[in-house]
Amino acid sequence: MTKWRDSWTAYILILPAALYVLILAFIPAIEAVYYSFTNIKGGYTLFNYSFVLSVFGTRPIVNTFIVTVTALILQFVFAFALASLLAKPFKGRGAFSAIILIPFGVATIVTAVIFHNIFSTYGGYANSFLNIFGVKPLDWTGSFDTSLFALILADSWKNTPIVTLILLAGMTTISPDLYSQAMVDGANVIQRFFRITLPNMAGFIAIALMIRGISEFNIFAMALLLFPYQLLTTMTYSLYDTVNAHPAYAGATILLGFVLIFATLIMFYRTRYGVGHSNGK
Amino acid sequence: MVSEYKNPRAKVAIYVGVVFFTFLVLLPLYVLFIIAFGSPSQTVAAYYPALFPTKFTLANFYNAFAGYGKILEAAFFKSLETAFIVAAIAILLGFHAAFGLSKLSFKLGSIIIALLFFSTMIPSITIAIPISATFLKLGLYDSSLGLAFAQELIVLPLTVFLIMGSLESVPKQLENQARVDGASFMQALYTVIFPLAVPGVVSAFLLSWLMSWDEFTFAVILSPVHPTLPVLIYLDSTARGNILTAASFSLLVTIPVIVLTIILSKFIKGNYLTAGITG
Amino acid sequence: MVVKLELRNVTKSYGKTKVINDLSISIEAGEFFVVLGPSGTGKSTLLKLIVGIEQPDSGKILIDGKDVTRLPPNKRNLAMVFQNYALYPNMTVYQNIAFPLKMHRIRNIPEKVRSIADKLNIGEILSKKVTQISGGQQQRVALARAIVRNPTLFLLDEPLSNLDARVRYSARGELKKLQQDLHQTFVFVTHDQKEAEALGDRVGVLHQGTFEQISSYNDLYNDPKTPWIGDFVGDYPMNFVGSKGFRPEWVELGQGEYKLEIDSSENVGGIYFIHGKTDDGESLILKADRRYKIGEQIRFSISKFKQFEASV
Repeated sequence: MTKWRDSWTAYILILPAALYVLILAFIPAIEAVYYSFTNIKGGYTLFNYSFVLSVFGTRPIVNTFIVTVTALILQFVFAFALASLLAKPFKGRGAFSAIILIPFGVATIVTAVIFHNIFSTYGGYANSFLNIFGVKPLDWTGSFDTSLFALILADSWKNTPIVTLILLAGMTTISPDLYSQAMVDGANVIQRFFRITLPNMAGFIAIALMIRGISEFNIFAMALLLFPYQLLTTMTYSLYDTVNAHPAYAGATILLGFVLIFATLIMFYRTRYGVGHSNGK
Repeated sequence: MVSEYKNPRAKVAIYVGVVFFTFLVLLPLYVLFIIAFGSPSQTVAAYYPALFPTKFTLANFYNAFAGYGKILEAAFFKSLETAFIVAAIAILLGFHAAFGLSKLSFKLGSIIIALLFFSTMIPSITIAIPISATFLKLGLYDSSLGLAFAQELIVLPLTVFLIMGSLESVPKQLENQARVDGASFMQALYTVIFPLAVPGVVSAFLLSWLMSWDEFTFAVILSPVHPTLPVLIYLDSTARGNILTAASFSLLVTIPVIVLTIILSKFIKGNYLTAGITG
Repeated sequence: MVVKLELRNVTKSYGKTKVINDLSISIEAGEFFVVLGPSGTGKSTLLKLIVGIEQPDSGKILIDGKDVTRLPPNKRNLAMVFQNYALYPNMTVYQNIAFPLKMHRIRNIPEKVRSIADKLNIGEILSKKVTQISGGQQQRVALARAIVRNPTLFLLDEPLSNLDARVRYSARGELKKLQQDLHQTFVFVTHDQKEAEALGDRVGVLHQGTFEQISSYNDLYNDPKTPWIGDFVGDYPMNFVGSKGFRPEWVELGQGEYKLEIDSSENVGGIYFIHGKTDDGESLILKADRRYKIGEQIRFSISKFKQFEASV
């Protein structure tokens, strides 16, 4: 770039967006980490962490982990099925792809309200449905497993479309010749999926895992309505207090830490298995 | 995976799948619909709500508006205002940044893209709590502008990636031609490149708008006194325990957004969302 | 003679590849200068350097005696027609032609556009979208846009190569006439020798990033400076026997010191070209007036040749 004037203009064009993100995302995040190690008088302390742990224990961490993993599994199973359906043309595909995108547009809180009504113990539609078969009403929010089920179902309903779109973009980059060759070589549907589809989509899978996984760690609005157990987000929110925010900073820092560990693992997966296959452009 | 399904058994399997997923997608919307329009005796007031209610009413909407009309109106305009500010800033900053990035060397560009992408990883709550303290000092707490500033963080990186994807489809030659024809760097950007990137810009605008309209975490922490629609719906269904109001409001919020999503479905492509992150 | 464009020792590399290598040239005002070369020899890069889209690593570019090496394209007052015309697809024909006028804040835009359009026979389609018109019309619109504001120099990057054969032939004639009417300097890049022959006052042959020879097309054909030029210029490459280079028609068949065994004959509009090998295994192509059988042996003599210093 010897066109120095143009390239300076390019820097200036990028600067506002970059500064914006630096000032409004990175500085507050660093603040949160810093303040989590201080007390209200400004001295350094680990009290915030011991306080959070003594009140909540490690359950929020474990719960967040369980929700993330189960929700991701459910969404990826659905999304793979949907993407495989949409990968080939059939009559009505356009309408079908528009329909399955609808939940993407439905607000998270609206989704939570709907599923709250479906899974309420009294006057819930799930129980009403089970009643047809003579099954006794379930106390959905009463046990960990059933409320987890309601939560990940609601979350997957809303978020499977975005995973589907990313996986579909990945599937369309795979050459049909590969499948023909594999068929000639005698690979069945399942073998073709594991030997061709999966490895060739590693880059796209990593992106979908990254985008969704981080969102699952941050699942909040739905959990407030559907999940009576503590997650890292709801725990941090319950600690939040405009007078003394220091314990909340500890919660926020723990959450940040887990997201970063997760992101690093995905990056590792991508560089380990995705090289040479990931071409999203 | 381009050839059409020829095998009749495969065809049946396809349509079984299509029917199954269509059912899954529409079922919750059906539930929302019957709660909003159904008579409470067959919905929330029944131990076993009717799966196919027979009595319909508009009373839920009347009651919701009579009781919360003013609050709803305020929340509606707050959401609307915030979403427009978010989308406008996203396009203003995002379009210029995307164009600037397309001019940088691959190495430098990747660093800035990584910075933007990394910012999307920081949890909203982690950012919202320190920001709320700063906003209190600056007088931005509980304001549409302050909330928009925070929500922008979720939207801006995505906007940059989306517009970068659409800029790739604008031939480099046209920019060169414009420069030869006497346009300065910025004139070429506005007179030639921008008009050709409009489809991408419009879809980025709508997507930003949609994400702000939906956003909850920043809204509940940074603007709890004068809530946006999602926060209002949350308060109705929990704190106030007013499920019918929540359902009515939910339906009102959802219908325009579903229309928008269907319009957008042509533009929302997985490879746009991943552009700039892969490769 | 007034020098319009001068390049002094211009060098440009991409990574480790030197695309333009110590190239110098001066082009006179009013000249139709053709840059000829096979693809991948840096023709387009050369144009980009002149127009200012790219900047040289070293060397100087002067237009009307003024150093423009570091000026951006919009400050050089040039016009360029790209190979694919680069018409603005979001604009009408009128808006395309008016665009450079607007950018230079020139007055009386409608009159100027109208008069250029009439001159190029595109007055009827001014309100059409550029995506709705034929390839020949697109080429005229691109030309109109280039000449509308009287730039100091015209650069044309294979502007005829996207046209089909018939239109291309007439467009070539019109282009030459246009240049003569305008009394303007044209730098025209092509890989097509017929175009170079028909259009160029001088032709510069680009090879390995520099001009291997600059002369009239006739001289390129009859008096190539290097074996490479002899090989590249002409419908058929120059034949070489030892250090003697000769064209297919520079021989007399039937008798002489050389012998050729025929591999094949081809008929090009009533004239035959015979391909074959000499005793030493040299492949030759000779002009003949009839077809010869495969395997047939004929004798020939070289009536005219070009002596090169070393054999190829």
